[in-house]
Amino acid sequence: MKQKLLKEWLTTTEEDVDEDSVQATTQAFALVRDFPMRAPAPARRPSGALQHKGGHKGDSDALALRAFPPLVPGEPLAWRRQRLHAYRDTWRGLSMSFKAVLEQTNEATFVELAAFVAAQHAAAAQHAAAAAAARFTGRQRLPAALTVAGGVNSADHARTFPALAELLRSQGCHVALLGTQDLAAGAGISRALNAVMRQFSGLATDADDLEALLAWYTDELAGRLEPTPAPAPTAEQQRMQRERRAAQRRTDAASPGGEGSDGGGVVSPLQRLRLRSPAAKRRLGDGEAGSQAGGAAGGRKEGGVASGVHEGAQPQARAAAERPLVVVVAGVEGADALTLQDLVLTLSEARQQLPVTLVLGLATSAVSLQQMLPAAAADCLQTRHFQLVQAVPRLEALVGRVLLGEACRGLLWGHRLLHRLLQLFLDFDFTAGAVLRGLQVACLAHFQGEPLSPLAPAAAAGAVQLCAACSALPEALRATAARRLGVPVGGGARGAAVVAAAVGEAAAKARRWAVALRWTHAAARAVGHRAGGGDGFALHELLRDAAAPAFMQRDSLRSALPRLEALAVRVRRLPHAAASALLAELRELAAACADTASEARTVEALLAEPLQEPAPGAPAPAPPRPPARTGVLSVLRGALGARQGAAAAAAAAAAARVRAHAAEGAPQRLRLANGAAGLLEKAWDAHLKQPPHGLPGAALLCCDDAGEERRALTAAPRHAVHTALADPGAYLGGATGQLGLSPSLEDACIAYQLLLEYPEAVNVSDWFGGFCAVHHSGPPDPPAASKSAHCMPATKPLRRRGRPSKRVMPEAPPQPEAPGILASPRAPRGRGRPKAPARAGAALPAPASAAASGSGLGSGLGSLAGLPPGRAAEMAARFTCATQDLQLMGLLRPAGRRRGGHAQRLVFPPPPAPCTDDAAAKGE
Amino acid sequence: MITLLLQHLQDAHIISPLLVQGGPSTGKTAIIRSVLRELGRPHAYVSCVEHSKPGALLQAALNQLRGKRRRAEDNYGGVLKAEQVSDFLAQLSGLAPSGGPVHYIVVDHAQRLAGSALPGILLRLHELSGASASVILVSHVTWGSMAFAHGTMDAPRPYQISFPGYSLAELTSILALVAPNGADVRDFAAYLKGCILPMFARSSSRIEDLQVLALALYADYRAPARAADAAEARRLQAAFAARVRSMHARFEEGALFQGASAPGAALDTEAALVADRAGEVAAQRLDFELPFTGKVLLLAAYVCSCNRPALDRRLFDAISRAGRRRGSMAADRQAEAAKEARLRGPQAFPLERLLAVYWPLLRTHLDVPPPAAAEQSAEVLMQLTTLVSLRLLSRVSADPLDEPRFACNIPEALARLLAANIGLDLSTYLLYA
Repeated sequence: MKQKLLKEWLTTTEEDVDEDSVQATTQAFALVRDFPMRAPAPARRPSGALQHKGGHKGDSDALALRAFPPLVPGEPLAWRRQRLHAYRDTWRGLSMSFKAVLEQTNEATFVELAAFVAAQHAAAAQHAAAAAAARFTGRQRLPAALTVAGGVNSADHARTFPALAELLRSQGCHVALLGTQDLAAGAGISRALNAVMRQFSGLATDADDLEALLAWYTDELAGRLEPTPAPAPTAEQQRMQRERRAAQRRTDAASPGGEGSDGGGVVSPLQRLRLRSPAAKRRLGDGEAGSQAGGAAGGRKEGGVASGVHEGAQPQARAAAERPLVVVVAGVEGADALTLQDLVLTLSEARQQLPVTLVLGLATSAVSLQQMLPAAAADCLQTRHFQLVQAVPRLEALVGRVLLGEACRGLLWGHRLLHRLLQLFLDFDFTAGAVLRGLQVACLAHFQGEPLSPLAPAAAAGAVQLCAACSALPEALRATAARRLGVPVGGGARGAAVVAAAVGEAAAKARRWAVALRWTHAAARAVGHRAGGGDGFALHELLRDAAAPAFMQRDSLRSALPRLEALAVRVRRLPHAAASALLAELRELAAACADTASEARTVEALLAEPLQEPAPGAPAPAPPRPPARTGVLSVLRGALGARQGAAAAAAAAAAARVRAHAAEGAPQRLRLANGAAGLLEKAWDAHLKQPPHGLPGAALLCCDDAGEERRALTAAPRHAVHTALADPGAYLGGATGQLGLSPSLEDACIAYQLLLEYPEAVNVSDWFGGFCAVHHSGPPDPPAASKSAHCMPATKPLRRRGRPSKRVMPEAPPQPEAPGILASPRAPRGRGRPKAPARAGAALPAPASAAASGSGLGSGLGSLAGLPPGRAAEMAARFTCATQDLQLMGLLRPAGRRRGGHAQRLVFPPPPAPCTDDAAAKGE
Repeated sequence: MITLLLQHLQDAHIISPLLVQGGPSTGKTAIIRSVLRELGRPHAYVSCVEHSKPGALLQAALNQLRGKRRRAEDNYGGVLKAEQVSDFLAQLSGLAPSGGPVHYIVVDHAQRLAGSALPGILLRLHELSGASASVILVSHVTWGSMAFAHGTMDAPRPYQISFPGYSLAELTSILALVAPNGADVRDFAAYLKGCILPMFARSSSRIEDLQVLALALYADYRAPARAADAAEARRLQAAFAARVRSMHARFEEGALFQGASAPGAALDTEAALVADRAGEVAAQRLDFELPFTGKVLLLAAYVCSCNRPALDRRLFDAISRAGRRRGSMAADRQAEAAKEARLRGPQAFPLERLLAVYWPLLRTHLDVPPPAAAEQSAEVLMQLTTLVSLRLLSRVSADPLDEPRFACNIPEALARLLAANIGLDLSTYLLYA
């Protein structure tokens, strides 16, 4: 059939076609596969159960095991698999705890937002009668919640507004979440209105005007709509829900004072938020609230569409008129200003019939909205500010609840790794995701490279599990354990006990160390240090600094001792109430960890002592004289180094004075403050003086490979392009550092390396001449080529503009052998100089045409003189291809009209900087 | 105006189009729609703000003229489709047959149609379709402003009705209708006439603005009447006068409804009315977080946008700066150049120049250790993309093959704030600013 059609086509197009040619053409057009009559059904991926049944899971495990090669001779496969599973479990727990903490950070703001939306809708409902009387009342002020993230951590906020929308839906609101693509330039607001209509109604509709929205809302108010069955959650949603639940369980377990510990069941942060919100309390009875604890349900309409990841029963239907209409615009800065203006104006004009509340998500500040939104729309907004948690407080929450908590499952983070991750966070992106990625790489590297790493989760699980894990230690790893721990590890139960004792001691020390850091942070907050950091007392700074061995060494430049002593002095001057609150916090922190139970009891005893007021007639003792130089000055002195000794001595003297004063008879109201300071000093001496990272058993627990993170996560596209072109051997595995240029290189590499010798404007003729000279320099012989005068040395810059230099260049090639670019006679300047060819379009000047026409173009084309015509044309074609490659990569472009025959170099790689692991990262 | 409208619309067979012109908040749309509704004329109301494309505008008008409300069964979509103008005209003739009552299409914000051929088509609806239909254009601009000149040369000139702004007496009457609950209407009208309108109506006659102002200040106005003694009443009167003056100043500079001009100030209109935040203007602090490299990149961009490229070498090349000899007229030349730069305004700059300024700023002048060569591009380019998405920078070159060029959108105040935040003396780098 097809051949018949083809034959007919051929015979109709060419009249004198013989049968043979038709047959030949038919063969040339033979179809490999017939066109399907209908679209094929999409191939479905097998589910997890099928994968397992079909053996795919086993294949993936085998593949994953290849990433965990044997680290010692004779390491059994089961132990490698244990390392793999330990990594997976550890990382899963860590990442889920991270996500749970990030979700919890904006709870308070979400509650405020929900209350604002409800209040605005209630106020709009009061004017419903007036709206019915007057169908058009002009523009009304549109309530708008300006939700300011307060930073550029937009990656962390990618889930913020979907979570808010999910929460509002669960409270019965109609919510539409718009992104920047819905408010793009040039499309008007029809796309946005269509998105609103789809999300409000749950219909797959093409309606994109206000009339449709009004008709839907009228039906909604009249109750004419049929409830839509709730769609079953997808597999992805179910997975996310399971992960969230497990993360919440871990986080609650890790945070003793957290909100998760007071409830009995497992409640995700947003679910708990739903239960706490006033609307939810109104809607749900007590018994229902209990049933909702397992998972709050959401609905888009009465008994209708569940809008997010929910489980359990549908909420009771709220009367349609009471359900607020909310339009959430995420990333307002990225939206088109005029489109956003039109949306605001349209919703403002329809406010009486469609009482919408706007939630505008801004990344930076409200000022940006002022700057982008035209006055006509800004006048229609009635705004209220809501501040989301900024990046540094989020980091603090992550450090406090995850990195210093049980979620790390026994892992310790080294100073170099923390320094690197915090540097990335604070200097580059303010995104907790970057920290998470870095931790993942470090965690993976640890389990891949440390043969005893499976003992870390066991150490976190408890002594029994650790003993069991050590008993299961293969014989091949006993010697490794002995070498790592520095103790003789024999066989049998005794050897396992030795290993378990060493690892358990390191893990317990790490837990006490974490409590001491939390105590220090609490004390710093109590005396008024900034929560955001900058003074060394933020949790992330303490975690990073205290992991270094020099943290408590008095003779070190980076010692924190002066800071801590100054902190102790300030704690001693705390008033009674503040000291009592501090002690209560210290007690809570210590009680959360089983290894610091004795400290908790000490604090408890201190708090339980009755306050002895001085006798009424007794003279009040003079308050302790404040030290001459404390606090910030001490910190500054500590940083100065040269004066550090004097500063430390002064701070120590001040602390001694205060201690002596307290011992002589300090007022009772300072008793708690003195007690708190004493406890802190004792904890610093006991737990911070030597970080747990230095213990023998800690080698099994500590992730400190910052280099792996750097290799895995640092992308340098510009550097990569430059290296690939300037030193292709770095990627291809050939000879690197070859001097000069060789014709064996790719043409683009040759052209690029010649290009590097030019300033911004590149004379294409000279450039082409250099290109030809490289190719005429003979066979590729690297040692000979490096000495050959025919090749252009890579380090010698070409002569720039202006008069030709009279200096005889030592690298000038001898004339008779090969007329290279440097040896070729230059074109006469001034009037006698031939004109450069006109530039055709946006393409670079094509030497091929010039070569073909035989017109000499200065020195470059002069070098073609001795070439056969075919060879010259080939050179020109190759050069043109190479320059077009460079042009497509954005490395150069044709110069302007005034500089015909020139190209403009666009990329100037920075001078190579030394790759330093600075001393700070080493913690010395 | 209402009389004119009624005269024009009362006869159900007058086809000639109408242009209703007037400034904002003069009641054009509300009056037109009320009159049409009261007269029972079939009409469609479409807004050019909602429908930016002519096809969508015409289709919405058709579906409204059809007279049936949207239904859930149709997914609330319009039944009638009009991809082309010819479709629209054909369907319009079916909806409004000749000889029947005139169907009106009210096109609000018609000034947005300026430059398109749609006004010409709408003005000739009856001629082109043969339907008994006409158009009422509601616009801020008059017919004589040439905004509708495109394509309307051979169209009938619409009958124009102008809505002037409200007089003080009319404003008083309108605003008196929204007197607060429990207030004496006469007293409120006197308050409007004596305190609010003479001062504020000169700046704006927007009913919404004046209404918010009047309601916000009314409690202070009434406070002296409730004072215990005369001295207290005088003090309260003085406080009220001061508050009115302060409000007026903010109102005139646009800060009252647009939010204060200082960084970090709120856009809250109500809150701005209640709390005078003039003191916050002086509070200079960076109210959003930005990574360190983001701050340096923004400052580098600001320096690039203020300085000419020729100055970069002088600023960032130590050898060039050390060997420079200043002539006797150097200061004058620099002042002239600064004046010229101010007149020229910020200029766009290529990516390479931005990076060439960024690295010295980071390396030399901020005493930051140089990063490894491998780290030089990805994070910095990502940060650049973030700044563009936040509109702090904007990309001005559209050709992806061309050299990327950017413009810096931050004001000088924010640049100085950023510089102070990272300890950089910005004036060192702004020779011409």
